[in-house]
Amino acid sequence: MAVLSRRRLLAASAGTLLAAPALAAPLRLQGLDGSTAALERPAQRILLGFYFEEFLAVGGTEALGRVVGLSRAAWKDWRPANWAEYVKVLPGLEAIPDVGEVEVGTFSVEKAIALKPDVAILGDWQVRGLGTEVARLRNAGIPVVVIDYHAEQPARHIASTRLLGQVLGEEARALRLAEDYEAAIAAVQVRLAAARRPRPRIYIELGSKGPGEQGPSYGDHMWGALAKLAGGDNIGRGVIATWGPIAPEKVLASRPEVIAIAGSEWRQHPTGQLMGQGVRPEEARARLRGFLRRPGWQGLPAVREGRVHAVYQGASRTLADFASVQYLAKALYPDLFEDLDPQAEYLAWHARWLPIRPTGSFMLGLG
Amino acid sequence: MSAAITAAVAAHRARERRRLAMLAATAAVLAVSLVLDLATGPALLPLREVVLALSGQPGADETVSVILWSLRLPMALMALVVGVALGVSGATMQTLLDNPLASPYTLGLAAAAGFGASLAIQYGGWGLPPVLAVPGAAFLATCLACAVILGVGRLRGMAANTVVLAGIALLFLFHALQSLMQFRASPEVGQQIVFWLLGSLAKADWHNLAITAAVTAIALPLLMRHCWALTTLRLGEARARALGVPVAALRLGAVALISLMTATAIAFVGTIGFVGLVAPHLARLCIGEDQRFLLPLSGLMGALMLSSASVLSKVIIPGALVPVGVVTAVIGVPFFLWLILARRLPG
Repeated sequence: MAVLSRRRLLAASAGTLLAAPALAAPLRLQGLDGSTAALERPAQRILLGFYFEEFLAVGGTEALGRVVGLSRAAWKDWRPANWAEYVKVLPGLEAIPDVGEVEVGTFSVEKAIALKPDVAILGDWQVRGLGTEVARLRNAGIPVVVIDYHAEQPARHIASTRLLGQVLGEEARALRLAEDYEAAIAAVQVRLAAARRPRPRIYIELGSKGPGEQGPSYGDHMWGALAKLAGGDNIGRGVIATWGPIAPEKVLASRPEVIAIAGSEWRQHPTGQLMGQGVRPEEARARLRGFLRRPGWQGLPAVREGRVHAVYQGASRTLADFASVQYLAKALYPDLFEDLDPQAEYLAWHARWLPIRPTGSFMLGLG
Repeated sequence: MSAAITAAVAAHRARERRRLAMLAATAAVLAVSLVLDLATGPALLPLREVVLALSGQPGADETVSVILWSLRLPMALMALVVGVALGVSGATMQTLLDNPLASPYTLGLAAAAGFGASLAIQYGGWGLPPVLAVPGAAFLATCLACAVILGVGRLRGMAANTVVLAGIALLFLFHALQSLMQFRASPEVGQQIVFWLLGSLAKADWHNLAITAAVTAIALPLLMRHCWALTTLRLGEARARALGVPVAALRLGAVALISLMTATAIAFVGTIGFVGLVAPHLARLCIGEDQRFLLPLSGLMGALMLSSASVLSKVIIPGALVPVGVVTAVIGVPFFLWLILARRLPG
């Protein structure tokens, strides 16, 4: 019995060895939504839905030549200044066909199929938004690899990065990126664990609507999850599932000790929090001061003690968000992280992995 | 005397021929629209390749074949089937209830479907695959709404106003429940609900097309059986009763049939509400009240509206992507207003 099975095993392995040169073992990839995708080899024609900077960080600028379709609005419309910077160094970007954007309902399966990608890399949020449409891509023979940086769980960041590495055939580079990220987060955790302090309460709001209207806040998701990594007690936790509305009086009643308003280059909003590429610190601070005039905010501990900060939306749900964790940690425990310069770390990460050199405001406080 | 009768019959036959010609003309325009619908799309495929792939010749590009056979063709045909179902349902409802505002949408059937769908989207379909769970829940909710409308109506002898009011009450109820679902959903899921509610042909595939077509094909002849009774009803409820039309039974039976047909159609494509309201009016403006012609023309008009909206949504900005539900309303509403104001009634 044992002999027979061993013989069979030998025969099987011989078969594999013989077959190996002719047929490369296909990559079986487990996506972050639990689905699997099979690829014959690293992809040559890629449909890229989101996480553009992670893609470029893992694949290098050459990888752009393999992108046959982009969900362009998710980059160009959401981060126009960032898009403009990339177009300067990678002019080919503008010629890549657009497949539409999920949140505004323009994503076209027909267009995606017509571009003949051999893989589609989509964010978990895109797959959720597309619903049953994703099955159509798969049925058309296009493997869908699902990655996710929105959850802001280091394990998912790392798994997503390694997946990008496998799809692009850049596993060594992906591993380095993942290890760097893991180390940066761990360094913050170690200090927090050693200090054993009570967690300060923190409120984070997406500041696109400006002071006049309460913007969405976060549960254990995106900024909420980042705040948790930074040792904060997020007041939206338990109130909001992922992200969404929170009552203004809930914010007042929770008496946050630190407030962070997430901003971006959305200059179309006249009072929204400006942050990011090309935004001067004084503009960003002027907008941030606007939020302090909200009813009741003058009495909040965070406002009284000058612990109100602005963070950059583009520095969340990315491999570079370790710098946002560092910044939030520093905002929450100034004495513990005095030596850290998170914005410098953010810029250094870009210099190391990406072709652009961001200039502007990416994290700052009123103090 | 007999000369007068002969003349009247001849005039009637001439009217019938005109109406048949109108039906044929609409069908011809519809055929053109179907061809355009297949020929256009965000992938901007060359016409030659489209024809090659459609004819199933071996030289056809595989991707083009996939796009045509599994995306464009079911979508284009679904537009026709759903348009017919909604158009005929709307026309029958308007006649049955003697109310120009009656339609699957205004009677809350579409809102009920929307609620059922959002429930399934929100709670992940209770273990069923979403391709089954979402239309299934939409269908069940629509049937529930229909049962309530019919139940309330029965208590009051199927009086038209009672049925309409019960429908409008349900419309508000299901809208509120829909909003509750959207409020409770996470933003991504909320987005999915919004798009479902917006209505889109993009969900069409061969399976749901076959189901919708089968239900419509069964329900249509059953409805057409009533066309004389419905025509009589247009003279007024009292006269119809006097002529021996069992009004209450007719309403009960026909509303049940319509609900089945509408529920199936909206379950798969979402709430394309406008078509069911407007297509019958367009048909009536063209052809008058004779239900033998009005029902088929309403169906054709519904199909034409959806099909042409689908074409327009693709050609307004070539290569760009506009949801079809939006186009139906944005282009359809001004056109409809113009028709009302111009009163383009044929002689």
